[in-house]
Amino acid sequence: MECMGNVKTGSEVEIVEITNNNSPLVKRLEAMGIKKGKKVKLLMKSGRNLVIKINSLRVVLDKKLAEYIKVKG
Amino acid sequence: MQSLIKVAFAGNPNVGKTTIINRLAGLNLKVGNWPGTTVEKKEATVKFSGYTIKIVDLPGIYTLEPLSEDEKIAVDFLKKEKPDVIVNIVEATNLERSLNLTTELLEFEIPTVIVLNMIDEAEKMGIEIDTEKIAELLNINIVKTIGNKGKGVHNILPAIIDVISKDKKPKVTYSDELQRVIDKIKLEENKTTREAIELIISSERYREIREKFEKLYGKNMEDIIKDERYAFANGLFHEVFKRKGEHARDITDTIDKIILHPFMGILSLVVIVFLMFKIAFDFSTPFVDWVDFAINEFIGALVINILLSINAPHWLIDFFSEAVIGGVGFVLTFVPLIGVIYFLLTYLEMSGYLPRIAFLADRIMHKLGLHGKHVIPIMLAFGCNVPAIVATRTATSLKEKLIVISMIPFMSCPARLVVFSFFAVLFFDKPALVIASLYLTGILIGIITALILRKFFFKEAITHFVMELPPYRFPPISSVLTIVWIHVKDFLYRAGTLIFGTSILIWLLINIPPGKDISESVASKIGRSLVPIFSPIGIDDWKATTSLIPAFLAREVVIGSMGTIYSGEEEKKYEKEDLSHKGIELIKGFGNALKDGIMGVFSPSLSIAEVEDEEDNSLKNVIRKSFTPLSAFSFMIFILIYTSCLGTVATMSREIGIKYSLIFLAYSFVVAWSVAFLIYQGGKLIG
Repeated sequence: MECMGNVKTGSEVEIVEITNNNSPLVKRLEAMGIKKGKKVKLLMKSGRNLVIKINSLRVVLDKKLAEYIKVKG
Repeated sequence: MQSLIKVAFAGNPNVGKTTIINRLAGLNLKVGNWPGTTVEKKEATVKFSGYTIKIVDLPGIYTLEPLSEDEKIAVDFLKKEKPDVIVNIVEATNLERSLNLTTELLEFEIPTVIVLNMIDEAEKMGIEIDTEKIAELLNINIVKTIGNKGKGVHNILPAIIDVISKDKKPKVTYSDELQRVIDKIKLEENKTTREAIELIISSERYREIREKFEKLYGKNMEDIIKDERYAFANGLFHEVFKRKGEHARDITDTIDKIILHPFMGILSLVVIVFLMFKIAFDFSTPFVDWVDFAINEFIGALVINILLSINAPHWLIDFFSEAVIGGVGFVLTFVPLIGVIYFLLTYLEMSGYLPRIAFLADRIMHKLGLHGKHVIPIMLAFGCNVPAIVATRTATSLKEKLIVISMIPFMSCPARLVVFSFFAVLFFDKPALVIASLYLTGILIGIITALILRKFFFKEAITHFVMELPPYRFPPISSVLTIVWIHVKDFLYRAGTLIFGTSILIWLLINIPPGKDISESVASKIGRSLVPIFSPIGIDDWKATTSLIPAFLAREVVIGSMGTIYSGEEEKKYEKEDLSHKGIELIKGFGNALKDGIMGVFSPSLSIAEVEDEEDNSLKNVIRKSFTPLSAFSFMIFILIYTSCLGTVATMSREIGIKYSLIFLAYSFVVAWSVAFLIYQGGKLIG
């Protein structure tokens, strides 16, 4: 299990757990559809940010926030 | 059944809600803020087959959980204002996610119309949605639309009337055990599902039941409810959604490979921003001249004709031609520029490009303690501070908004460029270098201001970055124009009230006592009393300080007012004019402006960069004698930094209140004076 930020660009992984889910921002990610069991693709890394894609949704989030998203390949 | 129907529009961000509301409301749309917040509120009242339908647009949200101001506003509205109908706009291409919010909305048991938008995009992706089944399962009405082409939108209002006349109460069903409890509370206490759930989560009366659930599921009640809602939405999704075959390649991914690329992305950003300013300036310049002609030459002369024919006294003609038409008219000449900037901004926003700019800029903005999205208002400020300040509405908190708004007025705009080019050409061998250094000084002061505010006043850091990158879309021009009109109308309203009042005040200062020369006016007395304040920065002539008073209308007025004050005003003579030829010129002029504007956009040069040389030479000679290069530079620094622009101050006070605007105005004055002082005194020492 690793966190979203450490995944290789272009690879598709599955979310196994979302930690720190009392923080409003993590809750917002969940409300956007970034949930346990979903397949995520890491589109790119840039500076402190990542671009990920779930179904047809693209989201930018910073790496610190991505640490709360635990994934497996 | 009542004839007034209150309808709340709800949906996720970027689902085309704005476009649909624009189509329904047209020019009836009103934009303001939700009371006590920085969140934009859109409202409209439309008449339809005997009903008056009041549309309220709730903020774009993903959930009703109170994560930020946006969700709180939406929940408060649904609970307290109790709309008669909810219209839930759902993106067909993102049905799975959208249904989470839908589920939460249904719990209110308010008759609901689901608008399934962007069905064309969904069809392209091979998506099939069984709308009849959704309508049947949820007991709601459903309408399919393609918002940006306007297809299906006309079915929304009939669906609203149908759902309310049949009093269809939507229904959600959770797992048996929970549903039994909810049904019991609903029956015994006459509550909605939403209220019943709130009671289960927090009421003392239902503690036992709550604890039983929590023990059974091994998590707290809120999470249980969240999972139940998700399960319902997910179940519904799988029942109505079908995907056939491979979907077409996503064009957005292809474009993003370039637009978000660290090098290519920045390059395309530079090109797009350059084009944006080129269009903004070159297209609007001929219209600025046209408005100037229309107001001063045509309407001005028309009013003078009327006043002369009723034998109005000379001072009254002065008042109308100078204070009313001159003052307000001057501010109105900015309308074409402001309108074009709003157009480009709205177009880029609705096309999906703006969040990409925010993404690219975050690398730099983050270092200033700001969020990438704040680069957009700051960038716009170089075009005109007024739309830039309005663009800060995307800020998520008042603090953030205050910081960004405090940076904007230091970004130099075309009005300042007019003043700079006049003085720089007159006093310096390399005017371009001088002007560039002024622009940089402005940027630097903006950054320092932001850093100071962040360090001492608003310590909480903007650390995280979460933002959706919507797919690229072609925005419908009619919706873009509607939004532009709303903003321009708002600016016109300001021009008619605050700007008009200030313009009269300034005119009175210059013209009291009546019949005397300007050197004996109240304004000149104020100007003279200001000399001790301004002499340390090299401005020791009362004529220069007095010119700054009317320049509060807009900075470039300073040149005209210097012309008047330095040359000593002569009594104006008014004569009747035959306006028929001017009327024809006015109509022809509009066509020419349109032609010149389009030509200007396609010409290789940037018109704003061409230093105009049409000011009369007598003024130049006087100015050359009363300033040194150093004091001229100091004067330009002062003009750059001091927010001497009524349009900006008026817009600012609308966005952050009159108190903060006045504090900022004072701050800008102090900074302007201090920087000019350092430069002037430092320059004198060096010699």
